[in-house]
Amino acid sequence: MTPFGIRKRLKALLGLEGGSSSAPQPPALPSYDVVFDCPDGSTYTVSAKEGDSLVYAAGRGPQPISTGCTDGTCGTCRVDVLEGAEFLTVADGHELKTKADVGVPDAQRLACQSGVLGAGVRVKITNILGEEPIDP
Amino acid sequence: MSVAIITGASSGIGAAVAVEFHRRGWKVGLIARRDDLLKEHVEAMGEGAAYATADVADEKGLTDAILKLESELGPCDLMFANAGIGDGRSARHFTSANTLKIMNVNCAGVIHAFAAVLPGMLKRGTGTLSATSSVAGFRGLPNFGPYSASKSYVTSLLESMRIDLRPHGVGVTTVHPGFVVSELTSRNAFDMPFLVQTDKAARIIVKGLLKGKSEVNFPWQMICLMKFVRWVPNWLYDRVIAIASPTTPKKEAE
Ligand SMILES: NC(=O)c1ccc[n+]([C@@H]2O[C@H](COP(=O)([O-])OP(=O)(O)OC[C@H]3O[C@@H](n4cnc5c(N)ncnc54)[C@H](OP(=O)(O)O)[C@@H]3O)[C@@H](O)[C@H]2O)c1
Ligand code: FES
Repeated sequence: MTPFGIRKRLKALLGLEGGSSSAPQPPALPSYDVVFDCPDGSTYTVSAKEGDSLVYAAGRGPQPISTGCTDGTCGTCRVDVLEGAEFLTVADGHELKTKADVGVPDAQRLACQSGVLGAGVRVKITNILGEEPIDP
Repeated sequence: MSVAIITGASSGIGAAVAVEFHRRGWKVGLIARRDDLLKEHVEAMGEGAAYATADVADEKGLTDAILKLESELGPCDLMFANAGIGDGRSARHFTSANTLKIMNVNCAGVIHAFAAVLPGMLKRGTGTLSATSSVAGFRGLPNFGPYSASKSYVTSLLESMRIDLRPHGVGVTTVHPGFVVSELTSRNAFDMPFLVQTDKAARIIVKGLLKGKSEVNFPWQMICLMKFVRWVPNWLYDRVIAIASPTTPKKEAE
């Protein structure tokens, strides 16, 4: 930081300068708890920011979802949506095409393409990073 | 009879390398987490094969498993630290927990395995440390950041150890496979160029290890390509690899 920067900050801190002291912050996104059921029977909960994908949310928990492409092309990240399907972003044409191409059942979603929009989402992971995959 | 201990020996490259060593008259100790598969392999090989279950990320668990195998088979002459995991994931989905999970198996798994057997090798003034890196360790591959990084770690660690340990009678061999048929690659959602069959890979690896090579690199086509790519300047690498790498997701490449 330049000495000028420090001076400006100090002045702002001491209220010696008019105007706003800091840059406008983007509004904080709300967070929602998402529950992940794992193939070994365990469960964990992660707080996801609005719009976070299920892959990103699970990637901060103890058993990350196994992925192949994270762009909705391979179907590796398929999950069973147990609760709160309405609080996930709607599947787009690309996801629907992949699901049809690789044979993902209708009831499943691609976790890398599913953004969290509200509380009450609970999904069952089928493929865990570093573990044997479970066929649907 | 010499003793080889192999981690990640329940499937893929590790299981095939164990069988190949055993076929060549070595005693083999197999380590992985899946008890049923290890038991099956050891029973199929018969005398001179033993197994112990451990998670390689767990230092105590792995050390105990190695001690158990050494007490059953004799001191470890060759450690093949091969257990590894990885998946394709854009950096957009980067998280600490996910990345550390890969590091804990691919890096810490090698560290714990070496730490358990190296003192004995140094005392005896003989032995071989080896680990499975990957061509993905030559440069950061798109969509495979944590995996590429974990394999770069293995490559650099072994290169450095090789120089330190040579005067003490301990050889160090780094294995850099291209694509090999295994459970790991069965999940790859892209066409894998120059794919090698598991048995063939095991034969190449064991031959290289027995020759005391510093590196076992295969298939040659992939190695030439990746060694060349290592010297390509960043401005060119970044543009070309994003289009040409099979690991780049289709949608992002478009
Ligand atoms: N196949 C390729 O194209 C390729 C290319 C370059 C490098 N490699 C490397 O080769 C090595 C072997 O992979 P592979 O292709 O043979 O795949 P694989 O069939 O999936 O084998 C991986 C092995 O590692 C074991 N493992 C995984 N996590 C473990 C843990 N936490 N603790 C103990 N063991 C663990 C697995 O056994 P359990 O699940 O029973 O524990 C399995 O035996 C890996 O390091 C991989 O990165 C593979
Ligand atoms: S990771 Fe490939 S579809 Fe989600």
